[in-house]
Amino acid sequence: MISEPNITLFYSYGVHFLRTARALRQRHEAAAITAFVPKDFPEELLSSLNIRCLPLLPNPSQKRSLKHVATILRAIRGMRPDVFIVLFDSPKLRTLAALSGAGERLCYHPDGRITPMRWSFAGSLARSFMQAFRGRLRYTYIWCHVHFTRVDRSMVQKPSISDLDFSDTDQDTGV
Amino acid sequence: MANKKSARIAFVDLLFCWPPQGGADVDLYHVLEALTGHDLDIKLYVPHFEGIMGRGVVSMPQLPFQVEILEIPRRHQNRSAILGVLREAVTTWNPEAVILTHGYALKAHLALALQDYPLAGRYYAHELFCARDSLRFKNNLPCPYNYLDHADICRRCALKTLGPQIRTGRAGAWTQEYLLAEAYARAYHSVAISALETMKRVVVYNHQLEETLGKYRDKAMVIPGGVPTGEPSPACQSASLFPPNKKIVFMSGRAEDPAKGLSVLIEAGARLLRHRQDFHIVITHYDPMWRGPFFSSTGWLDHVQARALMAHATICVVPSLWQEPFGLVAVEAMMAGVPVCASDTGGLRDIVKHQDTGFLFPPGDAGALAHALEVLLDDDNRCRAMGRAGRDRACNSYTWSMVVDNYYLPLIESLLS
Repeated sequence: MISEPNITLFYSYGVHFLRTARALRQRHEAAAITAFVPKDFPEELLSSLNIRCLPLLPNPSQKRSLKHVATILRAIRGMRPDVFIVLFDSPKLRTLAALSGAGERLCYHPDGRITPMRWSFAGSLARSFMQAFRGRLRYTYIWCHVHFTRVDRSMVQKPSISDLDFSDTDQDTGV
Repeated sequence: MANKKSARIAFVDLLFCWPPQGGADVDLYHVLEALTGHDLDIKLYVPHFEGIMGRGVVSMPQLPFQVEILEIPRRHQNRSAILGVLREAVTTWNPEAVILTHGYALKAHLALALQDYPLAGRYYAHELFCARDSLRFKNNLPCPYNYLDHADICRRCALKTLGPQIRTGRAGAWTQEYLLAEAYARAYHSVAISALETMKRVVVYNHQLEETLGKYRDKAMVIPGGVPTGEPSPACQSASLFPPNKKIVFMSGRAEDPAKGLSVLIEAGARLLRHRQDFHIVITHYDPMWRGPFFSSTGWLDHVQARALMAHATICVVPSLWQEPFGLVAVEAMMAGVPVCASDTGGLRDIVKHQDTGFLFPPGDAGALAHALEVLLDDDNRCRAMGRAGRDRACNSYTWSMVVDNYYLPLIESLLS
């Protein structure tokens, strides 16, 4: 018999927090799920899903201190989670996930993707740097297009089907 | 209609997901479901980009119509390969007509790739007229420019808005297609115009959008969305958050989006609060901590839960500041027998009959909204009468079977003729 995992969900101010909580409960009907939420969060929204609330986080408008971080981290580690879930992929949340002690660390993105947070903090920074470098190159290229060329309405010419190219260019679009 | 019986109609959607990720998915699902019941041979083609969610993710074991998911491996995610895969799949089935449904900048290229077929394009918002998103909403106002006529202004605006996503390499669906279609290039304007010329029909949600089509207006067909018949599920946990003994003024939808005009409703509520306390505003804002003395939020709700909650409302408000293409929330409220106070713009203007099924007020006019709310809060009989009239209108004009019979079958017939 496979036992249900002990899941910890970490609140972020994002559109998909409740959606993620509902999806988690649907996916793991019998699992023990604990959510770290801000102090003013209406707990009835999660208790109706049989999710335990720990209102240890400061409200989104409040300032956070190192003391807060230490308290939260101690509480998370005390939960001994099998799965630790965050809602955004950022260096801060990666660090928190890495320190949570959970065997499996996942990010539930706003667009519905679920990605494992396997990368190390340094790896994550390197990847972000590479992405940003490629992104800036591409942005510069597009900027030149947009600012140095003009649309000429008299140039509208409908291509025939034989003019179109459907061959796989095998180029990396970076999308 | 004899030839329609056996006609093969291909639908191509660049974004379809089920369970749905947006209103366009729901719209297409119901249209295809209803069309399948008319003995047409219907097939939906959807590309699924490896590693990218929100496109072609169909996890239901069986849909009530044929679907072909076309896998696009990561290394083939370039424009010509994607168009090649879609064209080959459609050509193999050899339909008599093709209807392009949801998609952004790639849709124009797709129209040209499928130009051998009688073609219609369905547009769900302002994606045809705006280069940066489908809202065409800027600085808290509907944008006066449109890409077909002011391409260079729109290209710059799009780059300014999409720049951060491009620089960080974290592209959403719109930016993905912007990059794949090279919608920033001047040549794309020619592609967009040619695509419009290729299409036999251009389907939009409302008459304002039809006007914006300019010289392509003769191809336009205004087809509204619809709502399912039947009562919504009565069970909704969030209803327990409603304060007792108060009349509920309800705003459903993506309330956190500034284009939806939540600030107008809050200002109207603040005006009403000066002389009455018998109401409470409930909003489906995703943040359940977003609350105040006369308003509160339910937190994020899925579509079914939001509809269920609608039945508990006294009045539904749709204070949109942008030109709402359809305004599904208004029709859902009418179906639930709830009067609607809506901005006099876009599709809402077509849906709400002023002083019959609710009130229309100028977009952004909190005073006019407060006045309309006051009238309804003061007069329960009028409120109920408007709710009944709304329900009749929704049942007679906006059920899916009506929409398909009155609009989609003639559309298909015009493509086949």
